[in-house]
Amino acid sequence: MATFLKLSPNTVRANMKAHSGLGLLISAALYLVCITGVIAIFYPEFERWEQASINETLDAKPEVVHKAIENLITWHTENNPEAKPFEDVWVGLPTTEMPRFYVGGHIENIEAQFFVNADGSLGEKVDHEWTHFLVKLHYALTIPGIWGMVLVGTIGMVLAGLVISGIAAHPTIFKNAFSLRINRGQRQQQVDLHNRIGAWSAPFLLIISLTGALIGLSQVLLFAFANTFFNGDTTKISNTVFMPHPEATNVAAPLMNTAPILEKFSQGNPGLLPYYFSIHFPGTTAQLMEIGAYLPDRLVWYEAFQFNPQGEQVKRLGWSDGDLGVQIYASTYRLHFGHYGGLPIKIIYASLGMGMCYLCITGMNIWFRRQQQAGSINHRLERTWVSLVWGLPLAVAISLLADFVIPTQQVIVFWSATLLILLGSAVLKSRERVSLCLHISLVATLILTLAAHFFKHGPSAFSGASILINSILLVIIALLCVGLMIKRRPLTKSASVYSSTDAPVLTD
Amino acid sequence: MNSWFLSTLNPWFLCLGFAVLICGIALLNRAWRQPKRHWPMVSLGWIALLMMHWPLGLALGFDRGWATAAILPGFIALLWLGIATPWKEWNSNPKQKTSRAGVAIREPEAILSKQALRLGNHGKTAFRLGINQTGHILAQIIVIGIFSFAAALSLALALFGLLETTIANRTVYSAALVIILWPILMVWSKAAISLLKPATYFVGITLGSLLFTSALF
Repeated sequence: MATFLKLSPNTVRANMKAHSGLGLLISAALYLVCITGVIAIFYPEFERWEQASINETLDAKPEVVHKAIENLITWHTENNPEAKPFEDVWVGLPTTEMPRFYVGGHIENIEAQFFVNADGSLGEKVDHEWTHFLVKLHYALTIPGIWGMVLVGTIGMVLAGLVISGIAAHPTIFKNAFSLRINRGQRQQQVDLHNRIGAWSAPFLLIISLTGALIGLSQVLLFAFANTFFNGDTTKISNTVFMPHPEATNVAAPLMNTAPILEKFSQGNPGLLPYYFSIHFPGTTAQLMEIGAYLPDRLVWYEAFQFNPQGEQVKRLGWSDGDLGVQIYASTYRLHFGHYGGLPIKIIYASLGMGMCYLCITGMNIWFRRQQQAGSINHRLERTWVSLVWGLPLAVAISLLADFVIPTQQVIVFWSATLLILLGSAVLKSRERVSLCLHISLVATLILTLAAHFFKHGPSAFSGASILINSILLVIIALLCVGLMIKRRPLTKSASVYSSTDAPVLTD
Repeated sequence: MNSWFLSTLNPWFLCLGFAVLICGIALLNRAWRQPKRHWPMVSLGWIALLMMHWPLGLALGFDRGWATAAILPGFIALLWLGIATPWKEWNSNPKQKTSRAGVAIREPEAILSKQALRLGNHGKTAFRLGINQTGHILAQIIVIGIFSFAAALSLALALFGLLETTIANRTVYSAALVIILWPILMVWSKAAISLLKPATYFVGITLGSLLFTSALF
């Protein structure tokens, strides 16, 4: 059996080359996608953290909901007298994960969202732009159009390739799955940590990369299938997977009453958890109400239902019980985000996600040590890598801190900070100094962010989702401080931990 | 509804799933720590990790249970590894010398040539053909990135055309084929000694697959 499963040395060598080459190609972008992905697992909590002072509730009475929609339409008429009526209005219904009640509307370039008070009046504007920026940084690297998503989808594909080649390149990866040799020098530590984390998190890496690639490349694939088989008409496919949008009639009609529909829906579907509804073309003869409901015990993202103004159900999306293909596609989102088992699953995803970040770092470190042994190390390149390892999380932290002062410029702040960090690290000649400076800066930025949050939100910073996020930030700061102490110890003595002389010496 | 898992769950089956998982990891740990391979124990360990899908499926629902069962062993094993590792010995012997032969056996990356290290995979071929480094990188991007995608996509288009089911099913199955096949083709072409062979195969697969669609006609 062992012989049957054994790979030839040539195959192993070829796979190692592929693993190395593919890893080098995407290391920095993959690292950024991994870091932002770990943070994005907690995006509902971050949205609540950003506006910590908003009153939270699990109660949204149907008549209050309807009053809130009427108030929103009145607000639009009064504040945008020149604009057309809203094309869509929507209501975010409170759930355990997002216990907030908000209402929003959209027409052309106007989009307005408000939290709703207990009496149905409009409250504070919904504003969690940093979370939106972070999520966009994760799925599109902030590149506009579909190209960012395509690029990140391609990175997902290369990550899947790295998992395949990584396993094929290490014939003893499972045999050594419990062997962590931490006392055999820097390189052996890095190799062992890389291989152990990589082997055990391989199923997670495959799930994340394949689901991410499917989400990222879906537009391109849709376009290819539609062009080949339906003369470029993408709606022929998209209407079978997504809920079709109704056609406008532009004929005025009384605004449909959503309260009885909502009440009837909740009574008729006790196993479903409605979390939003929208009205397409409100106040016209084309108006339709669409209710989206979570299925707490399923992996599929949600199920949607369309109702006409008379309260009759006219369409059901069928993500939970439709074609197998649709159910598979509908399950990719929760599977990718880790939003299918509450906090325990999120913690597992975050931990394994941190492992992914560490895989990127150790992978590159191993490559640099190998270069060093081959006598062709590029110190500038290695310094740049170190500055990215510490600089990218620092730039994310800076964008979060800056959000308290300039809340609409996250993209500029993030990329400017990254550029400045790279330029700054080019000035510093020592890799250890770059690492230390950025490490200290990261700790300082996170402490300042925590302080700014406490200062802005007062007691609300210690309740709801804020306490979770602030606790996580405190743990990260504590861990970074411990790391800093470990890092400074060898620096203050004679040689650095990463000093070139520390690498294991190859002797013939 | 359980407020931690935000869903209904059966705690007894969850505990059973955890027990089977711990048994599986303990068996694998014991088997892989022995100097000689102990196939019965290794097999039992893997069977336990496969078996845990059943109680977790009953505890959390089929799809959520299976998804959890896929990632949980890795998380628990890494925790196990983290607890069992003597972290006090970190850097206790940082300057250990390693022989090249020893490294070569344990780590295949150690036997890469300097040329291959500098130019990546197809370094030797590039030198032989006299292609400069930029051209070589460009060729790699075209063959390993674009041609492999074209081959995977054209096979998916052929599958889309051949399947006799709903449009939604055809779309998702074909998309799934692309995302499974593309990374495999990327690895295969990157691992090849010369780019010529994968390029030829990819062009052949692309043209052959497109015969099953209306794209060429």
